[in-house]
Amino acid sequence: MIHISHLTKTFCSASALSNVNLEIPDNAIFGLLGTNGAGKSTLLRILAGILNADSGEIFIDGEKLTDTSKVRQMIFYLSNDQYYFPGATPQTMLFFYEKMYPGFDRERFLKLLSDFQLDSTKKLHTFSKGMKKQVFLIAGICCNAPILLCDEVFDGLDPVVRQSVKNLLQNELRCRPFTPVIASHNLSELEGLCHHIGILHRGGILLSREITALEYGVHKFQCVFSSDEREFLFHALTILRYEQRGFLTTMLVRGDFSEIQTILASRSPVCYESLPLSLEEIFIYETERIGYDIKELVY
Amino acid sequence: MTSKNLFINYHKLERTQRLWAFWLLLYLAAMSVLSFTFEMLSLSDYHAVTSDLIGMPDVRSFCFTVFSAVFCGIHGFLYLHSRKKADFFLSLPLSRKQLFFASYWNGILFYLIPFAAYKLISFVIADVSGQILSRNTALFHLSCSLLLSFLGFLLLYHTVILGMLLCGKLAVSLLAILLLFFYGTYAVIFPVELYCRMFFQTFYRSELLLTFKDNASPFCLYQSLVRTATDGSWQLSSHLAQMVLLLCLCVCSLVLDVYLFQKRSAESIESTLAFPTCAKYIRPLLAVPAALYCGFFLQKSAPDPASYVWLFVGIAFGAVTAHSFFQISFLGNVRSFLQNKRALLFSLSLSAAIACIFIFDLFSYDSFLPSRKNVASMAVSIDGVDTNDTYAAPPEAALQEMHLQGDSLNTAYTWCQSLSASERIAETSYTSAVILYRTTSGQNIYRRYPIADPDVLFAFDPVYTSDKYKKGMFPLLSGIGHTAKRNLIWSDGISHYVLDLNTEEKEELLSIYSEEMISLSLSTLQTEFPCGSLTLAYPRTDTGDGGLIYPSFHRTINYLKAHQIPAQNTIENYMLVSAERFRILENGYRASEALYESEEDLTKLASQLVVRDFAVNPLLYPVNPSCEILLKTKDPASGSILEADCALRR
Repeated sequence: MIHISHLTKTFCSASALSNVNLEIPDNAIFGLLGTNGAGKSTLLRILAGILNADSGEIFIDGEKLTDTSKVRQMIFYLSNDQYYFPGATPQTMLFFYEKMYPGFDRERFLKLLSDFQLDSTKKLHTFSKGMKKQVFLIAGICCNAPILLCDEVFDGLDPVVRQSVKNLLQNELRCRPFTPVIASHNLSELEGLCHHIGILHRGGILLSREITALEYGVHKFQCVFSSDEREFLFHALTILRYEQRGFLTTMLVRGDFSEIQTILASRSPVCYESLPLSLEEIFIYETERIGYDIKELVY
Repeated sequence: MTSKNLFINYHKLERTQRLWAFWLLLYLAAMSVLSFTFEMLSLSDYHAVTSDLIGMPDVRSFCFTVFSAVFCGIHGFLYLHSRKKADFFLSLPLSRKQLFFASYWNGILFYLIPFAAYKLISFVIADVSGQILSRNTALFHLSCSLLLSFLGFLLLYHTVILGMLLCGKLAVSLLAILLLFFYGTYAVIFPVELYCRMFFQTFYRSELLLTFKDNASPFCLYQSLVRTATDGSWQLSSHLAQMVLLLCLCVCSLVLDVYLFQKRSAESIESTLAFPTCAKYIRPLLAVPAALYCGFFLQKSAPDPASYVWLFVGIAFGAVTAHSFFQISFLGNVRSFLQNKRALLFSLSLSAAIACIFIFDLFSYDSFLPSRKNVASMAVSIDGVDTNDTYAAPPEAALQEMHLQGDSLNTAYTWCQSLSASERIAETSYTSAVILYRTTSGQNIYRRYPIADPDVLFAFDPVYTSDKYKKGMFPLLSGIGHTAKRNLIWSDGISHYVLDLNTEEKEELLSIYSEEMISLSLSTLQTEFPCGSLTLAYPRTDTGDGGLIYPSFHRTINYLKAHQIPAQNTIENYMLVSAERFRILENGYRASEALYESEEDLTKLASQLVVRDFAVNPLLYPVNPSCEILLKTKDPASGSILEADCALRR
């Protein structure tokens, strides 16, 4: 587990991180959300050892993260714009990472490159932005470091490749101890991927929750009633969000699924159905509950 | 994998990535070998090969070392100026110290291997060609050169790394490196010396300033050590203090570099200063020297040197300019040029205060005189008296060779006391005297006293006619006892004779000459021009230590005449052919004005002429400085035409 305690970082007079307390559990994909300037990259760079925090501590599996601690060998950092050597090919970077990360899996790296149709002998500067990201993400996975820090990893990837990358991360999670931390400003990128979400806002943690816990006991229903049932519904159900357009009613309801169904059926709706909840909808509820408009936080 | 293994792996990887830098330095070393070979092939002097080409004074070694230090330092740590690169390298599973030393050691290897190869191959080439007289000596010089060059490289290398660490942008780092290389010498010592020369009437030179000048900055320290090694005479023991200083600076600068590397924050990349808290110290360090330089140059070109208005205007201009330049580059905003007014005021005040120290001589430099009991010996050199370097020691050499002691010291000291106590002279003085006080504690104190009045000069006569003075001033007088393998040459400026004398006769002549030279007084110099010269030549040459013969040196002249030397010849005694008169122009060239060929004109002119080399006392017996005469005479024996440059007596 990564335990972050009272972490503060200031650049000149601007506060980038302010008393951040966060726990990132092992063997789960952690999504770090926030707008530009929220402090996501700063947090990841501190974890990677690039920046030093002004105050606070970071513990990884009980060992304090310092410049010289062995836990640094457990971390692989993937920045938004990754550096590579002039004239380097994926092969060149393979040789490099092989030496720096003892667990690096050469065969898997070459196989994954092939699966993603990336030429290992072609110079990296001829690759597109998305292709470069793929190469380094594959390298990050193949180095077998328990912790993978990714800063805006999906930026520049097309939807097909994005899904492949998500599958890759999920497969990796099943095969070995693996804790990817993915920073993003886009909720939809992390849809269906993350097990745990943390939102950074103005240098502080707004919330940090398991997805299942967020989803638990909240359901989305869409109904069509022949008459106005608003009063009854608000009385009979715990409605979190209610939207009516003509006869079509959409609501978020907390409670037991079958009980809710029974109550709705008792009003003889023309039709009703249960819809899947999106991450955004969960967060709209959660953040409104603590007084923020989600659109100000993420987009 | 252990941390150490990771470090070794990274070290090798880093070297592989930077290999092109190694090949470049190897190529430069190869070019140096080629250049050495060409130069060696043109030499015939064994001594020159062992010392100059293989040893310390080798210019190629110096240039290669400086270039390598700058190149390796910048190249090895350039990644600190790019966020992308810094994120990549700093995120690797290595400690900061390991990252530092990986680049550091590779830089040293990239220099050491090509340089050692260049030196060793040069040695082998010289040895195989048979140009080395003594292999052991050559190897010793080679080792000294390797040691000194390596230490010099380390010092400059550490300084370059420091410049790269202190700043976040490459362009600013390059400027910082330049400043760090030369700051101590050119930003501190040099302005102090300029102000001393401008405001202290008695300033001649300061050994303390000279020492600091050579040692106050890394580049100058290394350069001075290399420069002092000439003719294979470099001895470690005589430069031990400097070498120890060099070593200490190398160690301290390395420690500082490692510390700063560990403390340097990644967010400082692409900002002017990597450690912004240093700004408050750097501002005055830049502004004050700039202010002092501007003040000096404006004051120097001021119409009225007595007024200091231009000095302070220059100081204000320099301080504001340097401060603004720093503010703009530090804050990245042109409009911020006059921010931090308090710092600007501090710099201005400090610069003005420093200037006032010199203007008002607050530390009493001009009136300082070491106490008599602390003075072990003295030396004196008077401007405008005995000025020809061929026949008298140049002022610097005279000051080193002369040791006035005993009675002459007492008289000289009393004389200097009166000079020191005299009022500050506003107008141009009659002449000046440079004095060296050697104290009992081993210190050398120099002063230049203006002499306002000829009477004051003539009060120096008791010292002028002392043997200690004359022996320091005229090296020929120290030739007594060393005439065995050396010829004595007489000349009157037109004819030259090698004296056919045995050793006893040469010793006798020099003794007579010495007595007459010692008793030569300042008043005699007002009425007589020399009529000849004696030179004790070095073996197999016709140059050596010379001395002038005055008409009042009767015994010397008679001795020469007794040996068939026409010692009393004057220009009128020669068969004059022609005399061409030249006007000396402002740019130093000369323009022909007239040509005299008639016997009447030549006879008339001859009485006014003196051989230019004999016009050695422009103060006491000046000649016309604006014209020269090229005199042609005919040697009746051989019929050849002899030429002599002459001057016109006033």
